[in-house]
Amino acid sequence: MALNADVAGAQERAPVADLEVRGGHTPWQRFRRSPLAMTGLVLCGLLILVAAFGPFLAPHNPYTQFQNGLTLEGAPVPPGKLFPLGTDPNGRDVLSRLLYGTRVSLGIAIFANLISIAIATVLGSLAGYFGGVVDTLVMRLTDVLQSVPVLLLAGFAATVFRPSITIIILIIAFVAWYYPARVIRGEVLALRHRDFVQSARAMGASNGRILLKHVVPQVSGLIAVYATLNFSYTILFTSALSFIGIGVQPPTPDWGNMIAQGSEYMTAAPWLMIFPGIALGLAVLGFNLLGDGLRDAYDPRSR
Amino acid sequence: MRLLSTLRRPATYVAAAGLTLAMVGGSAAAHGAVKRAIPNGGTATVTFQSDFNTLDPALSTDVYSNSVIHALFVNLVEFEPGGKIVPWAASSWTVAPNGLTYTFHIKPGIQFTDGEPVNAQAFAYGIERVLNPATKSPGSNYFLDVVGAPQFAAGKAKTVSGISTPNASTIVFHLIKPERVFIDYVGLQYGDAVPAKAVTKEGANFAHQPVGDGPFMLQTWVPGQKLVIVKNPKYFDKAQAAHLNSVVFQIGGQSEVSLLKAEQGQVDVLGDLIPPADFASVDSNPKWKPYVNLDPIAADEFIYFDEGKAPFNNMDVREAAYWAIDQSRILQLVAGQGAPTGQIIPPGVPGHDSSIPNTFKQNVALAKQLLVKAGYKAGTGPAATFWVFNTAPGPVLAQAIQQELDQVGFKITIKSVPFSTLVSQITQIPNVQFGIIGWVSQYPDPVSSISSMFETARIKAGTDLADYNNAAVNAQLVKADALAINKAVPLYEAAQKTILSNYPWVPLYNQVEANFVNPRLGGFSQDDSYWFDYANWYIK
Repeated sequence: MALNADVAGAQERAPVADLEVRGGHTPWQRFRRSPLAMTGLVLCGLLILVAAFGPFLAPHNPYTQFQNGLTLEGAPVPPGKLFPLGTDPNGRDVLSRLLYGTRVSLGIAIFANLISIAIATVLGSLAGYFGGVVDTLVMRLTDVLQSVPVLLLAGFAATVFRPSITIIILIIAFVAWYYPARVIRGEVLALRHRDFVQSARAMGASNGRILLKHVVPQVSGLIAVYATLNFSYTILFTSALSFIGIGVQPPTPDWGNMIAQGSEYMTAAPWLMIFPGIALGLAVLGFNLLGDGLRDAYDPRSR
Repeated sequence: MRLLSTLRRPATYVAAAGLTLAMVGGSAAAHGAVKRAIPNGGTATVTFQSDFNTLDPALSTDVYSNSVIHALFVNLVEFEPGGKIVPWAASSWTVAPNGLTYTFHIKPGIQFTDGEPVNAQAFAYGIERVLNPATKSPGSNYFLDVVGAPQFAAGKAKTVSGISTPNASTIVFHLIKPERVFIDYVGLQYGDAVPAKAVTKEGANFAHQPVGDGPFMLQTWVPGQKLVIVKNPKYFDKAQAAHLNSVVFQIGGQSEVSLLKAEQGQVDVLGDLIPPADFASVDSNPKWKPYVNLDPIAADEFIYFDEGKAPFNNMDVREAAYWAIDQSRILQLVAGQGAPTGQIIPPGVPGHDSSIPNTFKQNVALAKQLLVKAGYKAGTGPAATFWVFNTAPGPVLAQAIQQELDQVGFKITIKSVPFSTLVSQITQIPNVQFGIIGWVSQYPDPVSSISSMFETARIKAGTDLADYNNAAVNAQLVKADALAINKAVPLYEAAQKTILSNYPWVPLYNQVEANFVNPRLGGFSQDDSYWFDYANWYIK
């Protein structure tokens, strides 16, 4: 008994170092060598800093509708000394709203992303590991849900439930897990037949233990990569929901509803669309670069 | 009793000095005027951001649906710009000296597009249908002064005894008491004749597949996308037939995109007027001078409170909300277009009281005091949902109003919905706490401007948006409705003062419509009765 347990323990510990040794460098070193990956890291870092500390840097309260925030004819004020990025049609400072809005938009996207990755990990691992009926059920479910136009589904959900931040997060989480789930399933499927899993099974480890202690840690790198890549989807989707009016409700600022309001003023006050648009673009670019960089760093073979 | 409803979305207006109800709208070619050789043919395109609510004359309350209904259906009489009433399907009519009997003689040979005759029975059917409780018409109150109508509307009689059709070309209305504006009602959408066979066959679908007798007929309606009306070859009056072959309504586009299309000549008329965001630049650009039409109309923009439910059933809460509002900011937000008003009856309509100041100054301290008086802790107030239409300038105004109210302690949530949804929600009484809307007086009579919104009977009909229910005021208004106009005006003025002192509304401004019309389109005008009269339009 004691001998067998020791052997089993030794076997269980073996494979973890696999990926790290490959290529001869640590993932961080590989990551650091790529200028695009570092750019992504910097961008994401900046955005997270803005989300965390931006509200303290904001020159004004984002909800205050200033008397001098509108011209005499009632039009928004262009960028200038008092309002560095101009004002919106209600006379509110665009820069302050952008800084607060970053927290709202990123916050929703991050939480939604975490929940959707959790769902993707659970479903993908179960499908890949057990195969058979479980795999078929999960994958067909994914197929069916993926074929439903997401904005329609979100729109429907938004009419049934009153749009609060929580509901928005849940709606986005519910539609963002399909692709990561497939990828995770594929990877787990490949791992299922590897030696360390076979031996753990032979040693009598339960399925749950194998999944939790062996399989998931092996794909954790992959999960991190796709969590990052998925982020650009969730941030875009957050903004899309707000743009069509079922996401974050005014007066709470959020990139999507700022762009939506700005679209009415495309010719008369272009700064209303430009700045939140740039913020959104930078966020998507940053997380995509970071995600690509992570993927290349963990597994340069997949390049 | 009567209901005159025309709900409209507000738009942006130019502050016209000395705004009078000069409904001499532009180049309107009125029916009956001498016409030069006007070219026939062609198609005009109109853009609308929101879809039409209904094409059933018995169910319509908004100006946009009414404009198309006026093209599809015929009344016994119609309005000329300026409010004068002239014969249409009726060749003539007489009113008994005691004002209790109206006899209309109907022209022969008028038909619906499905072949059914437009005769006395058809008009009787149309009006009875409006009174029929099963139809749930918002106009049901209009004809309650006809003998037998109250019993019919209560389900106690099978027909309206006061409507008689001695022969196919004569229809007679007997009234319970004289009603000054009965003739106006006959000219509104609720007075249209409708084809009994088609209505019975289509049921509720008649609103989307109407069968009419007007200068146009419906060709297609793809909800949310497109509506097309085409010239009706069977229209009875060849001399007054439509000039255009068709009018195409493009529904659902963003207003800025529609403006770009209009500037490039791809569409002829912006149904939602010049977008507020672009008015300043469009108006100051000499290139668009031939396109911009400024039309004053008798209309109010106001915030209404539902006095029938919390929290606005408490007058102190209503008054607190009133003083929290910054009227000058609202006017600034609609780009300074629109003349401020402090009352219900618009200028130009008898009963408009020039002694009532047009502006009021925001008083935050008083608002807060009133909330304390209403029982709220200092600095706090009730929560409420504010309903607004989702096209410009609705959301911008709503956010300003929200902030002004939150500042004194209210907790306001904005509910922004498409205009047609808003109309159905606010005319169903229990659904809305307060909101902002515009109201057009379809004809220049205080019945349209004030009685229709503050008489008790209008609550059930849905146009007493404030659920205003004051027996004394109701009696005053009802009495005034029966008198000749010069005797009625003092009563209306007194009633208006009482109403205003109860704060059912926050009156904001009167409107001037800033239309953008391609100069190739002739015959364009805007009026309160029909909004756009498509039968007058032609391509130059």
